[in-house]
Amino acid sequence: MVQTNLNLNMNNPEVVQLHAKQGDSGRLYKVNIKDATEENGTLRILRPDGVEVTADALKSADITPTESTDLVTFTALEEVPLTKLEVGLSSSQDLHGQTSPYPSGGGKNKLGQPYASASPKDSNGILWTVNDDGSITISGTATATSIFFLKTYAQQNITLSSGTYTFSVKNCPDALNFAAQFNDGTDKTMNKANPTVTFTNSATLTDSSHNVYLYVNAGGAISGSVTVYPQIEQNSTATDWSPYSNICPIVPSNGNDYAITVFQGRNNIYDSSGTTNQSGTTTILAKDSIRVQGASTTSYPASKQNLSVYPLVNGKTYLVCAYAKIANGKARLALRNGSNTVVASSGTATEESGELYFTFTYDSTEMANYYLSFFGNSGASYGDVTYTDIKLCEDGTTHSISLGRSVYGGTLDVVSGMLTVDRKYKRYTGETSENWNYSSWTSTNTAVFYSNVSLSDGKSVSENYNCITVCNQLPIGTYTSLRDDDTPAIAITGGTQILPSVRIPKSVLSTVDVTGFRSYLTNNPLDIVYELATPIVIDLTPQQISTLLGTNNIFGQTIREVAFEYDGVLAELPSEATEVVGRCIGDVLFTNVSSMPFTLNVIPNNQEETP
Amino acid sequence: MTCIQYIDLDMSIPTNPIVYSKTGDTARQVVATLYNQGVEWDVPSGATGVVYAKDCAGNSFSSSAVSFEDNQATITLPTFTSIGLVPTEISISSGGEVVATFNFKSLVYKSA
Repeated sequence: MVQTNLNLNMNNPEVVQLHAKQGDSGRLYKVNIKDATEENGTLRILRPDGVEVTADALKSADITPTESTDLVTFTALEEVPLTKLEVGLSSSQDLHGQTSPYPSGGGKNKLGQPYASASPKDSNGILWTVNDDGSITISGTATATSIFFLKTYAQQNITLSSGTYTFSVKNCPDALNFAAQFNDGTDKTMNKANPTVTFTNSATLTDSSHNVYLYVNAGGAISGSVTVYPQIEQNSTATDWSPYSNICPIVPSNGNDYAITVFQGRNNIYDSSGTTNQSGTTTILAKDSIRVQGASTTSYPASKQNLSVYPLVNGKTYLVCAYAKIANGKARLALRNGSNTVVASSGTATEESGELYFTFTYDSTEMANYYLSFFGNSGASYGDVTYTDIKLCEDGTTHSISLGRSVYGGTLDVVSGMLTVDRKYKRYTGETSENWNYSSWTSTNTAVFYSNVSLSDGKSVSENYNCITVCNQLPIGTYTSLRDDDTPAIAITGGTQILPSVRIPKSVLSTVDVTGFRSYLTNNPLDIVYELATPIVIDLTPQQISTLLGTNNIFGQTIREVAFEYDGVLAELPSEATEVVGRCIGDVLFTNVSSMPFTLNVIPNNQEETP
Repeated sequence: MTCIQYIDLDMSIPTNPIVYSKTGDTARQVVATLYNQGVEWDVPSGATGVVYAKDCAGNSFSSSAVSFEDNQATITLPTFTSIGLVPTEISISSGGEVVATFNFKSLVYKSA
């Protein structure tokens, strides 16, 4: 009867207080949950008497993504924030870019671990404990000044390029001060009343007087334990804290040597239900996945699904795309008319392919009886193709975004947030660990060297296939071309191992041997991008998308706006929740994670008590 | 005769307005304009209401003289027999559901 709107947050606790009267049974709550990534959740209430109102008594939350967007914007030829693409990769030091310098120079928060002071640090009554995300938990009362160093010149552990930076500490308690002594001429001391400071010029720690630290003066008391969140970021405005980790080591593009494909569109409306055989055998594997097989060597298998099952809008353009895994035959997506004539289709794939797609503009007067066709074969006999990740998106278009010397690459679905990383960057600088060897394929004019360190996570190779897709110096060759042609190239050799091999002019080497080649690499690093055998799938959340706005920029090529927003209805407050007067705790439970809590004060009613 | 006082009540946010009454009075009316999070809240069509009040000693008072029109509830305060600040509410029933307003305070003076 009474609907109350409230805002919850998955990550940041905020004071959310609701009220109800004892015995109320007609209260409905509509919840907007920031940073939620699932579409369904359940309202939970824990009464002050310890009784948990069971989920069965509640209506499930129905939280759906909105269509309007404003968080991530791709604008023509302007820098746009892409956010932290490396989420999920941090467990791999190699992928995470632990080399020095950090590939992108950091993300939004430049203040990364390790900090200069060890943790935990018990200093003059104050206990400083560093948390995994870089926040610091503080407790105690200072008997004398207690200092925790974040960065010091002595350890050479921060170097920021010239520019403007802002240092801030979120959740700063009264007794805590923090200071930065960069080389712009003035020491900066801050506290709760003045929680940010902006630096200009170079912010590098250049001598022993330059440090970044937190401190509590003698007599200062931290009530309970407080967790603070230090951050140094570019520009002159302090924004919400984000962790240093989970930073995307992607750099702006200045060339066309590497690309990431972005599929744009609104919500995917594809549903494989109702897909039937046009010929052959169609098996529905999942909502977005089907398998099309030939029944004999003379059949031409394809599936069939009428467009009429979808709420298509007249005049709108739609994108149909899918990932095709081909066991036999060929794959092709198509739209056929009532006479079974193909009116639109993707290209034909003959080997495992990243994506197939085509677009069509819906005309209800002509296309009501048209159907989607997923070929298991496009001309040859017998086929067996599995289509996964099938999408039917309104107004879908495809755009390529150049990423230059990116560390990772892949496909980002900016609607769903799914990022598939399938390529990886590697640099050779002539280090001993690269284990370069001299090859007998060396000729009069060129020398051949191979690294005896396999790209173990690379895609397997054949003689005419090279998992290296980009090289900053040499043309991409094949095993046979590298062996037989007396021209510079890079390719893969090694049989079951994946060994990068290069043919290079002898004239560029100081000595035609491994020592000379390593010396050459030291002065001319060799950068490659190679395909991963197993793509890494990352599910970016709205929080991750939004956290690093303004950093890790890439260049986009479209004017469409895309983003995430989750909101929705929720739930009728069950009468059991108002049976007991007092303060309840509530939240919304998703799979394995729940929202930050709210409180619900149940106020006594004024009715005469029932005997 | 009747005597009318006006207050605003929010269905989601307690605001604790005060009305005044005297012991033994039977025709003191209150017109409550109802809001929900600051937005006018129309009472569901067909809803019925009862005014409940309970003093600090646990004495309960009630009045069924309640009528609704759009977002206004016109009530007659219960006939109080005790003095002081008495928490008071309007309990609204519709379609098997019950929602009560948050309390407003009836400040009851002793009649001469």
